[in-house]
Amino acid sequence: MGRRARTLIVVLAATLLASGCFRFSWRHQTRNAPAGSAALDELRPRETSLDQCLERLGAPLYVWEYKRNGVALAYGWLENDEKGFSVSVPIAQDFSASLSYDDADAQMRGVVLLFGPELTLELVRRGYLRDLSVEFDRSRPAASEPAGPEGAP
Amino acid sequence: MDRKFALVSAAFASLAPACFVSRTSFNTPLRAQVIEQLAPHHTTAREVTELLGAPNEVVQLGQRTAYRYDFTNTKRAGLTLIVVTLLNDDTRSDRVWLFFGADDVLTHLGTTFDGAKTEYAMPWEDVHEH
Repeated sequence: MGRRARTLIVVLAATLLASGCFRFSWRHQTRNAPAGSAALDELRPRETSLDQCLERLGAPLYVWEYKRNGVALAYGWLENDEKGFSVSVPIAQDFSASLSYDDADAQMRGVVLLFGPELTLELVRRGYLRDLSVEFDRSRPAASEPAGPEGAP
Repeated sequence: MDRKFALVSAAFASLAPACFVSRTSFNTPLRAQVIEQLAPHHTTAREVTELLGAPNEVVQLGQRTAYRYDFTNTKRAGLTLIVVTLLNDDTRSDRVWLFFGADDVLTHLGTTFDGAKTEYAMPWEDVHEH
């Protein structure tokens, strides 16, 4: 057996044995298509109507009451890229210590549009949906709202 | 040559079990032809529920109400190679929001039909570039 073949076997064996101790993972997650920035830039407070917003941006993720008889719409999308490296070392017969590092950003970005009682756009706010939903209190969720797969803000 | 072919075949065979794809859906796809039958200022909430069934969500908006219908589709693809794991999730949905006035007549509607655009992909692929 040649020297290169022996080296290859040793490297392969070491890699196989090491797989029980450390692991590299790359997970990419996408939810919904981002709202086009061109479509968002066309929105004009005090001018754009609810109809025009729905036509340009499609159906929102969430709808709730804003002020009295007004409407708030939330659009959201997620582009999450996680690269993680984990190490696990046995320290006793029935226990193991593990260490992991993850670079994760699991928050959904989006835009909230607020319409007054006349259903004319009053305000557009962009950011993380979780922050926006706190800022514009989503105070009247539907009684039948399930814990859906979109991940409520 | 036979030995080389056998080694390559064995390598491929050992990798094959490390791949997987899965699909998860929530509700049934919305049909655009049915939604097109809804006419703002004419269709009533009762007619909507006769056509589409019970909504997934009902929101009270002062004097108004809004109904949500949706279908969500997730495609997941993964690959594990000894110490490396690659995983991609793509989730998109069909959504329809219908807004009704105090008289329960449809006033506005918003539609998105993206559920069928969900893709199996690897983490480095941009599924929204098409």
